[in-house]
Amino acid sequence: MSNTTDEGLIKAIRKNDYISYNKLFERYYGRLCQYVYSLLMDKSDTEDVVQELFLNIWKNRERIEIKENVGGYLYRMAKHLALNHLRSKVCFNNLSETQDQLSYEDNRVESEEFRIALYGCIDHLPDRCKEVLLLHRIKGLKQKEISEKLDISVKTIKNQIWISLQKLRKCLELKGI
Amino acid sequence: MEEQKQIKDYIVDYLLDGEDEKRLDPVLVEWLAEDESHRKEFFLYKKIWEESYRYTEAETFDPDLAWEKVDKINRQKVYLRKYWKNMLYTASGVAASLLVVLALSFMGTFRKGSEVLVSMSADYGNRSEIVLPDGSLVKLNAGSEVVYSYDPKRKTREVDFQGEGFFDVSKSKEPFVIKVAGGLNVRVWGTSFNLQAYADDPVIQASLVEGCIELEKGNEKLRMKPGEIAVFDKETNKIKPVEGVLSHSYGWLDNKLYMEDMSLSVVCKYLERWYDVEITLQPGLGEKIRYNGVIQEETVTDVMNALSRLSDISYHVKGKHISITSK
Repeated sequence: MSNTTDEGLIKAIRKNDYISYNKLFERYYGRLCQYVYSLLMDKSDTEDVVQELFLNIWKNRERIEIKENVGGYLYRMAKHLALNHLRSKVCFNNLSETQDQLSYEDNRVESEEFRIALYGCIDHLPDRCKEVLLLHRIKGLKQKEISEKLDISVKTIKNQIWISLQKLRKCLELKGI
Repeated sequence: MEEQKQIKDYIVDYLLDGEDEKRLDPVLVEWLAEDESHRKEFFLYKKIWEESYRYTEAETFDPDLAWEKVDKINRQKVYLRKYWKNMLYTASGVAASLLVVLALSFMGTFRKGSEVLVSMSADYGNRSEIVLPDGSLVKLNAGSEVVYSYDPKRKTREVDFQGEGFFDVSKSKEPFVIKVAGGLNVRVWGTSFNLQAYADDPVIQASLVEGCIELEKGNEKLRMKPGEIAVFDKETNKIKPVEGVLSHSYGWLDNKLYMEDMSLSVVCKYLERWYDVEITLQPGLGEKIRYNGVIQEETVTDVMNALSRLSDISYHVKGKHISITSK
């Protein structure tokens, strides 16, 4: 019974089943955070937004009925809560940086599906591939620094990146992107 | 095989180059020009590369810790609700409390064609609150209904609305339009405002707190600025700005009724909606008595007591019926 569908969980949640609510939380918390982080780029803001989303679900449980894909619904909710969060930040701090981010996001609406799928695919890359990719993309390390850190040649780094790209491409294809 | 290997190196080198030195090698340019599929492939890699910059591992977020927080807040809310329920059950005879009734309203999400529909209502005597799928928040006053639909093809958000609500609409480039009785459309850009549009009222009133909205009926149009109040007269089809204190128009959020030269009959209309009661007035009394000030009471009995102190009226309660006569 541990493989209850999302739809099954929502049904149970509507009938006050707190355990199903907890299951839905376990199933989606990390993934939603991962996505919201890509919009907000701030860890604590991200967690606030996703927690708010789950609080809303419980608060409105008796009235919620989702007839579409549950995951899609949650991501959509998360996105709008995150954008609202950015908006309130603009009001209070007038950060030009936030404004840039906001317009960036407005232009990027169409890529969210791609992004969510891509993150799922990166999650499943072999450890070495992932490590190389992330050291370069996230930590911003140069090839030389990566090669020293992991004690591998620059050629190997390039190979790993190519393998990552191939795997990600296949994985995205399977997801229909 | 040999050629493929080279191209692969060119692609990886291109991606690995710092932003400043990014330049397409002539060999790569040639390969891209050869075939549409090459370009598709290349741009996919590029997109993967760009998007991976914002990736973070799901494990960096601790679900156990987060669950503790969420769980704690959920539990507090239950206590609070029970507390209020007990308080109010003992405090009032007639009145349905405005604070407590949370779940009696109906809401559903369903699809009609390609549209996503969500609806929510608050009956007389109840209030409710809904977060729409686009993240917008609507607080509904008693006797109100909202039906939200989203058309993914036309990318428009549409709301059919009746009653009174406080809207906090999330910013998006997708248009948000509220349709109310009398054919008035309210076009909204990310914003918050109060909208009073009961079907049985002669006018519709909008009070803008923040952002920008536009009222529109045929050729009549009025774009509002923050702090402004405007009314639409259903009979004359005219839209015009009016004077008033902005915060008073959404005083109901704090359970307050601001009365500025308000007639007893108008006050009673509010009370009927807010507390789900039926009020009968002695003929001629409704327009004769007028009030200034603010009432903030928990139950309708308390409100009636307050009103009878302010003016020469007496009232009699029988079940849900209240009759008011002059003293």
